[in-house]
Amino acid sequence: MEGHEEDPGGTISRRKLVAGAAAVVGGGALLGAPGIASAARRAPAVRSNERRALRGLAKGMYGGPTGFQGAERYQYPLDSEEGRAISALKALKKAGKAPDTIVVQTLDFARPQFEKAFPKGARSIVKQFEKETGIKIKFVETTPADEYKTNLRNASSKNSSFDCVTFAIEEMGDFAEAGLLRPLDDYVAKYQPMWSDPKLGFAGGQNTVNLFSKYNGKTFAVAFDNDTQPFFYRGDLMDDPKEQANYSAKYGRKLRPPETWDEHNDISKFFTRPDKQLYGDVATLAPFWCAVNWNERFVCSAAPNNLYFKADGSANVNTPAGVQAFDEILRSLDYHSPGALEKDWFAQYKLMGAGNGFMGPSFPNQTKILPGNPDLDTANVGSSIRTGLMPGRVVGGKLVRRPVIFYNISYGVNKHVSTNRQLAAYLFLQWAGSSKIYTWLTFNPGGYQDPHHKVSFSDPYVIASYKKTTTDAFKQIVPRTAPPITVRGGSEYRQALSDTMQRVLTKQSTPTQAAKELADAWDATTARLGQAKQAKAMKTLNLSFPTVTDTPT
Amino acid sequence: MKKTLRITAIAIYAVVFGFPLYWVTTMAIKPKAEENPPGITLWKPQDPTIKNFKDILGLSKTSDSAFATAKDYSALTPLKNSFLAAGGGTLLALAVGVFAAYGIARFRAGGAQLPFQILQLRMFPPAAVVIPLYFMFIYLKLWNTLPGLILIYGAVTFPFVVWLMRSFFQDVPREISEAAIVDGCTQWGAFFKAVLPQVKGGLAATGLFVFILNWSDYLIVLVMTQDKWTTAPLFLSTLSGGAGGQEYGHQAALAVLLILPPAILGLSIQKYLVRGLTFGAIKR
Amino acid sequence: MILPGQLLMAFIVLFPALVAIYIGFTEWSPTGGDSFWLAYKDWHWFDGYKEALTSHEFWSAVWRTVLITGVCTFVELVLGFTLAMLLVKDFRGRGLVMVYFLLPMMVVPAVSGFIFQKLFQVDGPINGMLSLLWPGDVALNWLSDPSLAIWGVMIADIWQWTPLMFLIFLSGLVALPEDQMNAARILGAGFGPQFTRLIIPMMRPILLIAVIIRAMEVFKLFDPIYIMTQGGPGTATQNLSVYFYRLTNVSGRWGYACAVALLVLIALSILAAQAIKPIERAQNESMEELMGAGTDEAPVQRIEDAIDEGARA
Repeated sequence: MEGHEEDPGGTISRRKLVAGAAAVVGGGALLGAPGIASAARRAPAVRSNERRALRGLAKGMYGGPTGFQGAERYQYPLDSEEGRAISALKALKKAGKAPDTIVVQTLDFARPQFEKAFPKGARSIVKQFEKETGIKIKFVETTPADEYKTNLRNASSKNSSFDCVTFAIEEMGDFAEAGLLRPLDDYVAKYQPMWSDPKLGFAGGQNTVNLFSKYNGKTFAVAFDNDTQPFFYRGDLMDDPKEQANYSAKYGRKLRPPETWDEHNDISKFFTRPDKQLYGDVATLAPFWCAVNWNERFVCSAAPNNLYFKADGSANVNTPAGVQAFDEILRSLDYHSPGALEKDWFAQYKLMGAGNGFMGPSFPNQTKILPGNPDLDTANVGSSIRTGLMPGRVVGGKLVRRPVIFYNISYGVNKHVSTNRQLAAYLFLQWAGSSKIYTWLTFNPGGYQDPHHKVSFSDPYVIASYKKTTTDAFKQIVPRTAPPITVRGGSEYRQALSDTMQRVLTKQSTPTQAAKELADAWDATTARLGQAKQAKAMKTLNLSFPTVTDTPT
Repeated sequence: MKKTLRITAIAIYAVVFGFPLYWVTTMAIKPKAEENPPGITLWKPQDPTIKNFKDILGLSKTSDSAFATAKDYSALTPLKNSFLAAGGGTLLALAVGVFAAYGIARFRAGGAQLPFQILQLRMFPPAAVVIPLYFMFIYLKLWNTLPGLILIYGAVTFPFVVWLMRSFFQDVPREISEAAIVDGCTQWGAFFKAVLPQVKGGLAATGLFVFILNWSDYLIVLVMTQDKWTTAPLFLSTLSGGAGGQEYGHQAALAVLLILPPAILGLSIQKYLVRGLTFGAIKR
Repeated sequence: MILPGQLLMAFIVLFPALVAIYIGFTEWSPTGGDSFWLAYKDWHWFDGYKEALTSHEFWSAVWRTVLITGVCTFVELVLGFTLAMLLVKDFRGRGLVMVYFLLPMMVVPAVSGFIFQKLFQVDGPINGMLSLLWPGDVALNWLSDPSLAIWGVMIADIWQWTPLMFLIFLSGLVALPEDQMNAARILGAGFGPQFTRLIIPMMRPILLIAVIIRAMEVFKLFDPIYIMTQGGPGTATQNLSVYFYRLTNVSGRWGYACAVALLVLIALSILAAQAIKPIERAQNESMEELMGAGTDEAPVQRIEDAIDEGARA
């Protein structure tokens, strides 16, 4: 942001960004956040600590950002996951073993969060890292469309031109088995990241760590995203007394965020009004992006979970639950806007922002990047969007609700670079993915990496950025989160699911046929990759399913 | 009556075939607000701007939005890569291909089957052969490098040069080189001093043709490069996509910039177009 | 003199061919963790070939490729020929009109894919235009309806490459021997007989070359399809090129992909050897020789036939 000239023809630019930052700070104040505007009421000792943080490090701190209000919250002592990483890097550097530059593969949409300074007065994450360690970060960019195939090729050729590998959670098994990712357990034991710490760790504790970082019992990833799907809806319409009355008259039930998929169906239907350009369901149905919707309707069909695979490794999808999930999605087409089969997640955000959509599952940052965004919030309804929990099914008197993780970004360490580079790469990831630094990174509006640390959800900047409705919802969402297929072949399983769904949606296959086709495709993949080996990895995957169920109301 | 019918038919053709280009050109000068209005209100830009071009050419530094990706739209590096790779590949293909063509045309070098084998190369779908090539490039450390791109572009367009130049060389009477040799030139001297000047026009046309072919490549860079050596056609498709949302205006501006060089070059060799596009089979 | 050329050919043919043949006999995948030279660990002889020959997806990709090639080539031929006939008579500004019609051909294929992907959006301009002609809002799912998507990608190809056919035919038409045409006209042959007895036979070698060259290119078609639909919805627009690409980049079945690629390459080599012949022959002939080769009859006989046919009509 610094030093850029303002384009007189441009609609928004630095001024707007600064205003945005101010709004973030202001928002924090409104929420009674400690350490921002309310600082004046607090004890003088604390205040002087904060003032010091504005200029430099607070007392007893080893490193961390400075130069903006609240910076002290992201500073850390030596004895912390961040401090251990930095001091180890300094030692490595002193011994002359550290690389001058760590090359980080990153997705185009993730990169700005590392490189753009936020809030005003702060350094960027990479500049901060360079200042503390003297090591530069260089990025090689890839895109969601290319990342998998690029890394497939990188794995096949033992490409050693970069240190940190970026990949989606579904691909962890593939790249671990391909020998592209280095197992990180020895580093984890030595430098002790606090991922499962009850206070500073991931929101779901050890379970989330298993899910985000581990494949087949070993750690391969440092999590840098939380793309568990929340459920968004238009709060203004949901609360409208007239809508409430009409809905109750029609369905004999109170209008509320749907608890079950059946209720979801009714509400979608109720709010589908093509003459007013309003559509009840905005779930993404485009190829690739559609897959997760099936998972969410499938996993909740049994208590506590309906698993993707049976114990012997064969597909568990040619079942009534599998058919039902396809069937429901097919029927939901009636409540979608025209061209739904072409709309990816960004088009979905646009649809919501234009006031043409009522509800649907999406990525966590909808409430972060939509409200007030001139490109998206075209009907000025962004501030009315509220966040809730995925609908589910009532099974044996229990309500099972299962948001599923989809396309969650992780970083791993390239096994094909030298050991010193591996270590430096890991330490950078431990530092940048830590509770302090990663929280600071996620409220940066420049990119789409979302928070998953417990502390993040009560951080005033994060709340101001993601809105309280979302950070609150996440406390409910995380314990109920189910994994996608992360064993080897994950990308292929996902592709088969997406292809099958497209055939259902374009009426080339009936839901019954589709369930069989999907089972056949999955079984073929499993057989080719070795059924026994796959079954073993699936067993570990099954351990990361949640157990929380609710009582239907 | 007949004339009116003819003019009407031409006009219909003109409208149908012109529309996509009209659409992309106007989209390139539309501001963001006019990018994707539903229906047909997209005939005329209401508030034309050159901002998209400025962004693409890296002339403006500001980003549109503080919220979304705030992406750097500058396509300068990919455009530069496109020029270097396409240009280098063209020079290589010409350097190697012209001699081969002359050898085949004049001395039947390599036997009767060689021209066929060379042309067969062009018939194979690149998607089917690019993976083994990828291996080779990784081990030769040519992957994601400019020399690598030049080498592969040169190799891919080499058959084209051979066939086209062969047809030009065949038009040159044998007597010309024979006369030069009688005058004391060596075989090489005769080639450079007597024959090559005769096919000057053809050589230039072949070069421009090959440049257009290389410039238009998408699949090879898709596999053979990453990030640093991305060329403009690939950059065009990454400008859109899931994460960044649709960028109609910027994409259209880059599309127009991508169309310009082949259009200008192509029309400048209009005389040789048919010949080039039919591998020298039709000599017009 | 041809040595550098042969080296360059060997460079891009030899090694990849050997690798493809080797890996084609295995079920090797980069996600298995072994380097490709260790592929023999997953050796399975001809299983990949057998699988391909019995695979529904493979054959549907083959037939789809044939369909796309056939339809595109034919439509481009007809449209191109018509346009050439319309423009063959000289008029003021014809040069400019020609340039205008040649433009689509100059567009980078990836760009044409981009343009048509946007034009074919449900709320895009093509549906917008159709809404003007048809009553009500036309909301065709051009790229997400499996029966329409294949037409969508074919339309993009037809738009881009009809100009090539047009250009080739125009150069043929203007080279038609003036005296024969005039003679036929003076002796009273109408347009129809002139067309079927004179124009078509003389143009035949040129038509053939144009068809071969276009068919060759459409067969390989990748960029616009990949950009517009990625072969979807489902596999509705998946031709062989896209099928290879998906095999290697989505499922990582590189062993199988190499087997399929070799199958296609072998089939193509046989076809290609036949296809090149007319081009080779034509290269050695001038335009006049080429056009005379279309028929065995003497010019006089042709003209007489044309007049007879006109008299009968």
